[in-house]
Amino acid sequence: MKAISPQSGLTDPGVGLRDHLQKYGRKVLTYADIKNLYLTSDPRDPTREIELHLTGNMSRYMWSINGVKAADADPIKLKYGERVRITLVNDTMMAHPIHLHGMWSELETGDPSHIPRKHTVMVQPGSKISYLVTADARGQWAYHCHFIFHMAGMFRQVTVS
Amino acid sequence: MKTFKRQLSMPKRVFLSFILTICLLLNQVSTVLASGMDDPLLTKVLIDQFEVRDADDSNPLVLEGQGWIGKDLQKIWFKAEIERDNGETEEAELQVLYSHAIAPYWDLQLGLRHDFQPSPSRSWAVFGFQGLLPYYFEADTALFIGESGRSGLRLEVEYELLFTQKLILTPEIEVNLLDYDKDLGIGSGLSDVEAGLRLRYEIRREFAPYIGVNWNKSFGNTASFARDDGKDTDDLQWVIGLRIWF
Repeated sequence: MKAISPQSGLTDPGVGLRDHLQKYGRKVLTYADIKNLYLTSDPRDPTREIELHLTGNMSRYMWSINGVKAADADPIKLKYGERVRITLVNDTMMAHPIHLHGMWSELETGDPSHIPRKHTVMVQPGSKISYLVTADARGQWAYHCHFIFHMAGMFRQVTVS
Repeated sequence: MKTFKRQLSMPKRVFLSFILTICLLLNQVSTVLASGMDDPLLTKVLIDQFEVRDADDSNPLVLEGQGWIGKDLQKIWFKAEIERDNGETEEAELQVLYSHAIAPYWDLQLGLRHDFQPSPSRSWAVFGFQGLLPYYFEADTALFIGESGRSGLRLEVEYELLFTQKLILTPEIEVNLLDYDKDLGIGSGLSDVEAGLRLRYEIRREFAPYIGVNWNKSFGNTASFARDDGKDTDDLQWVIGLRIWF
């Protein structure tokens, strides 16, 4: 399966909360509402973009990134000190909380001068979201979906060198 | 001194060794948690139909189920169909298959089928495909090659219509084409069609009681054999049962 025209994941509050405004007249906060209190610490523009598709087969319960499960995948390589944009496209019908260890995931919510920093970024089904990463920690880091049953396949090693 | 030796019949031995193998394999299944283990050994048992049917002069008990043990792309699959009526097993069929993924939603399945009942029993080699058709129709097709060149073809299609997340209507149809088998009263060609409509309520995903109707009709020579035996060639029955998986 593939998200042909992925929606922006920024304004989607997630399954079960989408009609709260209509139904109950109350606003549900989304990623679009988050802003950093402080100035963005690394204001550089990203020098490259890494697009990753979150993929899976619900019928076999196999999960993967770009259609390749962790066991068969090469690490994602980052150069120490570089600033990159990671864009995640969720091709599946489930939400995936994606966690990059060792470095901040700076979610692009609209204001480049006050980018919020996150550990884990929720990617809604059929949507697309992007964040910036400064590779400021050398070593090998885990990068994965935080759902326990998805983790084995939807997992990559990130090496910073 | 007299020694007692009980000789098990071939089908019984096959069946017992099959059960033993499954038990041994189940022993190897580990709990899959945050271990991050890729491609774990998993199992599933689905008893799709466990029901009482309301026939003209009796209430047959029917069990149809399947299960598998294996990894992401390769599994040992077993399928069973048993029908008991008036305390006697009228039909008992077991298939043991090796299942290999050939497409995202399709498995190729090869193995053996043994019909313990009706008598005389029959053994078949099985060559089949099980998977998902476009628009979420679940399909199971198999070609059976039996002793003395006997062959059969079975097509099963099922659909799940969700009224709510818990109330689900399942129409299904099964078509059997078989070679002439005098001993079992089967004529060649299209032998029988079975169609069902079951409405289940999932109290839990794994536990769902249902009610429904089941209709079957025999055709051609199979129908004439049935008529000669004084049996009906078509039958519409109310059913009540349980669908369970674990």
